[in-house]
Amino acid sequence: MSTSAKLVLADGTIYLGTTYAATGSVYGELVFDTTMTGYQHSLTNPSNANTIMVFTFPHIGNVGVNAADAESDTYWPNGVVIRDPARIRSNWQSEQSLEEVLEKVNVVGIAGVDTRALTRRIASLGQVNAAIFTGEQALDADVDLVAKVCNWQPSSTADLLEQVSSQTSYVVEAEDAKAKVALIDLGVRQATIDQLVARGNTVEVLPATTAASEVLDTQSNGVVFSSGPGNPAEAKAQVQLAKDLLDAKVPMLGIGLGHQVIATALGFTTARMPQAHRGPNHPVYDIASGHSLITNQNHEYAVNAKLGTQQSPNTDYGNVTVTQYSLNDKSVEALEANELPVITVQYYPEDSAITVNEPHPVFDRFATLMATGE
Amino acid sequence: MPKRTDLTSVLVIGSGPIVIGQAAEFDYSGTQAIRVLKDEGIRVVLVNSNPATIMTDPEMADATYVEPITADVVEKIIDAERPDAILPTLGGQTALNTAIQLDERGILDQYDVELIGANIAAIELGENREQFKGVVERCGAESARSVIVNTMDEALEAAKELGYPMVVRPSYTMGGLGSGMAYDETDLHRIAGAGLQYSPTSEVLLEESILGWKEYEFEMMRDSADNVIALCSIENFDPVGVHTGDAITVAPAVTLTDREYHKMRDISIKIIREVGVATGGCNIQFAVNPDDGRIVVIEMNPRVSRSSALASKATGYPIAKIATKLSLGYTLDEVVNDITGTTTAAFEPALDYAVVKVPRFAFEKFPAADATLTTTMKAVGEVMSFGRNFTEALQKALRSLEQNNDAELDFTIPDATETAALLEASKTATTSRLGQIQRALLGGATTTEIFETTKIDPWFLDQLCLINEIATQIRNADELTQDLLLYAKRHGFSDKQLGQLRHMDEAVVRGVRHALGVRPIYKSVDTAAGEHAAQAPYHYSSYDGQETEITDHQRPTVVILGSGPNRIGQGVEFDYSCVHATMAMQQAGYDTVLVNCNPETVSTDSDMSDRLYFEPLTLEDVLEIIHAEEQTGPVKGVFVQLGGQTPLKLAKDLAEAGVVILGTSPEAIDLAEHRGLFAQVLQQADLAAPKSGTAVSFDDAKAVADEIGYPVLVRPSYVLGGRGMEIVYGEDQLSAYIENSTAEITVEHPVLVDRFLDDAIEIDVDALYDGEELFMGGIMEHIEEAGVHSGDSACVLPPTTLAPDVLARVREATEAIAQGVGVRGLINIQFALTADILYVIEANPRASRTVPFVSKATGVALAKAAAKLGVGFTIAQLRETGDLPATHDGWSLPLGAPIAVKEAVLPFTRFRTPEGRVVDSLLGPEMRSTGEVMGIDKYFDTAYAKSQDAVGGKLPTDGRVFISVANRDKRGIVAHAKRLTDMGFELVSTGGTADVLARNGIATETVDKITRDADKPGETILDQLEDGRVDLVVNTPSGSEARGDGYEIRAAANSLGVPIVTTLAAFGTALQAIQAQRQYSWDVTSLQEHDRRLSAVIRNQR
Repeated sequence: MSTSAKLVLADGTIYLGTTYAATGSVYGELVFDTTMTGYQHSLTNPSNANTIMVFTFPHIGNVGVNAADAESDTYWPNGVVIRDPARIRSNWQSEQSLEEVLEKVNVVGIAGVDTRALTRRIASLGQVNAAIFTGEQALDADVDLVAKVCNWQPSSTADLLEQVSSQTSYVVEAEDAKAKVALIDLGVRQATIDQLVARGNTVEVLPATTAASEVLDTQSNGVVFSSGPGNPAEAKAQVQLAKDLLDAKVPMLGIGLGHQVIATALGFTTARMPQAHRGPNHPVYDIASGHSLITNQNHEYAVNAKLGTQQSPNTDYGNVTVTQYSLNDKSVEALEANELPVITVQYYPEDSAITVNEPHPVFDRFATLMATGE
Repeated sequence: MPKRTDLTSVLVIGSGPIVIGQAAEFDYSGTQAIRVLKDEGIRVVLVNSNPATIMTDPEMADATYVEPITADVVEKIIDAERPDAILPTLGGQTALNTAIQLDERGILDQYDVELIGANIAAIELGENREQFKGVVERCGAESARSVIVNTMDEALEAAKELGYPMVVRPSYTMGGLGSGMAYDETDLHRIAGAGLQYSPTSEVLLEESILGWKEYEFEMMRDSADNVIALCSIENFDPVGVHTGDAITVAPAVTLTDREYHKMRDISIKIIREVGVATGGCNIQFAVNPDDGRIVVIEMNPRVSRSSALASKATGYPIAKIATKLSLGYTLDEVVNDITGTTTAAFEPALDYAVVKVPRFAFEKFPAADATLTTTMKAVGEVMSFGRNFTEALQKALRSLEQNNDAELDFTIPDATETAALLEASKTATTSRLGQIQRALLGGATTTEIFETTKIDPWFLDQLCLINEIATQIRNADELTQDLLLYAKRHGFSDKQLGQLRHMDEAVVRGVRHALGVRPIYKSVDTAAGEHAAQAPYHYSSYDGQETEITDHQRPTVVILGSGPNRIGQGVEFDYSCVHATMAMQQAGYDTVLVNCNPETVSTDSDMSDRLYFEPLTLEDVLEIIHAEEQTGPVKGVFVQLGGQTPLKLAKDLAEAGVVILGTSPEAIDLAEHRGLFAQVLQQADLAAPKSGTAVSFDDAKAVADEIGYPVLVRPSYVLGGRGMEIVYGEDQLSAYIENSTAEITVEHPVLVDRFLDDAIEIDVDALYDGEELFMGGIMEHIEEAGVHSGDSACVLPPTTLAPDVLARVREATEAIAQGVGVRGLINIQFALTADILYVIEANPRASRTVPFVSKATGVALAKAAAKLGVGFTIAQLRETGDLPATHDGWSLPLGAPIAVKEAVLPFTRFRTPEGRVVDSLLGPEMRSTGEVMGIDKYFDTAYAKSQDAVGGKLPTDGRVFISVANRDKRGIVAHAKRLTDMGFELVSTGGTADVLARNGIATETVDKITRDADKPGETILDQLEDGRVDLVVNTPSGSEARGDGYEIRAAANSLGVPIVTTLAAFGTALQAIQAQRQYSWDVTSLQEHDRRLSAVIRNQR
């Protein structure tokens, strides 16, 4: 196999492959995703901004991409690593080929890599930065390439949030709206907005840097902190916003990064996990019901909290209960404030298959919080 | 919810004999279930009539009943064992149907025994098509529009509404038996007519055609806390119209959007809840309209199925094992995922490879059958393969099939005419379609053209284009470079294919490849796509990079080569021997490695060996595995004698490559397999063989036949299961045989012409030999005379009509042959006894089909002993260690030892001629049975009666018997007929048979024949059969004359399930059994109890 691209890891490991989509040099945190069908969702998920994404399933791009399944209006990773990119796309909904759209938005890819060995490497390292080099740049001495990767500095969380968040606010109207929700866009996925709207909430999407007063000015029944990229401990402005809203006893729902931001506001710390959760098959145990749920996740930080009910470290906010945890590593998956109308989930609670006339454990609970305050 | 504490004993119902649609996968699931139950401290009672299974090993369950799986018999077992619960979801449709009957008869209530893993209401909802439609609707999903009918008139009425083509499916049948596609009213009459008869409830579903839609299957699991997970999605390469068991399939699904996937997953979750599957697995089939994505639910199986075995092997998630745990009350989050050791069973496996399943067919055994693939399953086995992409997996699967034709893709470029012909042929789904499409593409056809006619997803078609492009690159390259070889290997090309493309010998390609350092590494199937550190000893090859996941091993490794796909003549029996060998070798202190590509087996359960390689059994793949094992630790050697002909034929090449062959040496194998050399062995031992000769042309064959005299038995050399074997009565037939021979006749592969021993008794032996001593495993006496393939003939052990001196001669001959050949391990020899002369028909220096039967019948684990002989133990040592009985063997079984009868199960009702009629059911020298049962009892007659009941042909105890026999049998029939009338049976017969009976003063009703009296209005035997007024058919064929009436009668009896006897010998035995059934109802006895009784008899003898 002629090699035209190199994937260089900060630990010095180098994988050879062929170019895919755009060419050039890109850096990013190397992350793997175990989805077998959801590549479009993952690549359009702003939480993956500035990463180099590895898909563990070899065949990626088979059904092309379509507007209806996009989580946002662009493709966020800096680079992608794919074992066997699709040569053709085949699905009645397909509108464009994945490679074409990635090339258009300058996502640099490498194909033909032993993605399993790579995944095992990432899993054993826990976290690693990497770069893809193509063409001339790939010809540099390996030691120089590795040095470049080691010198690369990832974006700060503030920068990431600025990149992914909407710069202006906008409203998505629900038909026969039952409630109005302000959504703090930390890199929201379309699925969150769609679920809220379909369940009768008019959603006003607000930039990540919105102040509490502006949020309260929207006269919303509740606030959603969306999922997104970055380290919650560095999301100072957003944590402050969450504190202000907690003080105002506003009903709140946090998803993903939003969950971590609200938890931080409650006084909990967060930590990088030994191994990130990225994929559609993560089991979550619901303590109250004894059910285990299979969830879609994408995070590398987790909230530090004991299972069960505890005083929130920021004592103004009363008790908080960890209601769900990961069956794989016991990390916190959901919180509920006992004295405040606040729930948060670490995983992605939206499920494209569930239709709006069916009950939904998270969105229904949030609706109740907004309606009754408890 | 933790484990229930109120269950102390559980009855597991097995699936019975291997039949099409219900095969060895249920041995895999049942074995897992039994192991789990035992681990949990539960007493396990098992009923399964199939001796060729691991689950019926006496050490598996606490009480093993090898008895017919009928409600009557199971009731007796319940009465004797008083289990707390029955687990009916791991034994296929057979177990489920039996459970339903037990419930309907009130037996479950009467004995206060509970069903676990299922409830009757859920089974009803899942299996009753009309009720299931309601389920689908309540789940907010769609079914195909359909109508249920119970009569032909209703069917015709419904057709007006649904329009043609439409699908016809009888209710409550397995493997889609009796279903088909009706394109017009004639088809409807034919298919629905038969379907109304097949369905135990006379119920047939007619349904709008979703022909050409994409087909998917979802494997689901539910626990008692209502947690539901989707374990695996499977996509069919062949669109709707081909039964999923006959389709090439891929896991996971590759042409679905995430949203489509989740819609189907969500529907599946709702359905399993709505149906109310208590705990355990189920699978749900979907069709998706490729034009607009409309999803239609096809059906569900509320139990573990063939697809769940496939899904277990494809994902590494052991469905049957987990399902069993769930049936005991555990929830998914309480069960540890053995592969990761750190996570639980509550997750959905992530795959980082592609899995392809390809079915294996046996149409060559049924030349009259229509080879079109339809909604009735016809495959007899399957192979599965892993690849890091689809093309690699597909090509590995194709070479795993081990078929001479239509196996590996052929890259001969067709010209325009042939391309057009291939395109035309590919419109019909057949076993050759994949190859036709691929070559048509090579000849210039477009994927669009092919999609138009086949509706195979363009993504799959493009993958075939990719394979063709690589083939062309290889063909045109100046030389085989490292890059090119790697590229080809990463898309699954074998050394053999590369050799063909480069006009090089396979071995030369391998040499070049090795010189360039292009060798596979081995990855693991770990359920989690590498996310969690796992020590999964479950491997497949890949040409990705350098990282191999095989762990270093200290103990010497014994490699056991499996038997590949199930096929007629080589089935689960060989898997049994391989699994026993791995058990014995682990016990003897070795690391064991199993190599196999058959997902339906126990041997491919990664729990069974220290390391499992799910790989094709070709020389190339096996050599690479041995190399990889040598890289990671010491290797003791390889067993080729346990997996049947598949590994045996690799023996010589492996040895030449420097591999140590354990047990019988390749030279010894050659002595037995090569006719000339074997003749010398016989001569030295002063043993007789039927006169014979070899021929490469008709003139040769004629000369041989003239010398030895007709009838002669002709066959190609080196064959399995009597493939292409025929009894030839004269010159014309001989000429036709040579002309029509499917196998190429060459000097290396001549036709063998043997004298056919008319009226001989066939005797089969399985024995062990260690170079010094013979251990006779067992001597089997066939019930049908010589001429019927030994695999299709019923047999009895110990022999019931052979004199002691004959048995002594058999033993002496066996020892002489074992010694002459140089066997170290198992040998199987077939003898024929006629005019008191013992002829040697053939010897196989390997485990045979009958090893499990003999082992079960005598309580001696022959395959384990054979494996131990292979690593240097002697028979004397094994007698001391208790691996073999201390004093007796299968030759010296005392009077009072249990008597076991093996009966074959034949698949005739599955196969239809292009005109839609069942193929003829005559037994002959070509093996056609798919499986076997064992009847075991204190008495021969009852053992035989049990065997007949177990194959579904329970002999009547009263009623009407139709008799029509060939001239040569007329004399023999008289006494038998008399006995029938003495017992109160009424006789019906036709023509000559009626005259003979009348002359002998035996009252018989004479009815018209079918063919000759067609214009007469009188009632024929067919009418009586169809009216259900005949309880047993005795019809022996007489040469070509019987093609008319005989065929019609046998076909009708088969379709209607009336027991049928086609040989005089079997008739005599059947009479004994009928009499026994009339006199006493039989007892059920576990194998463990039989063993205790045998020990007692032997003790008393001393």
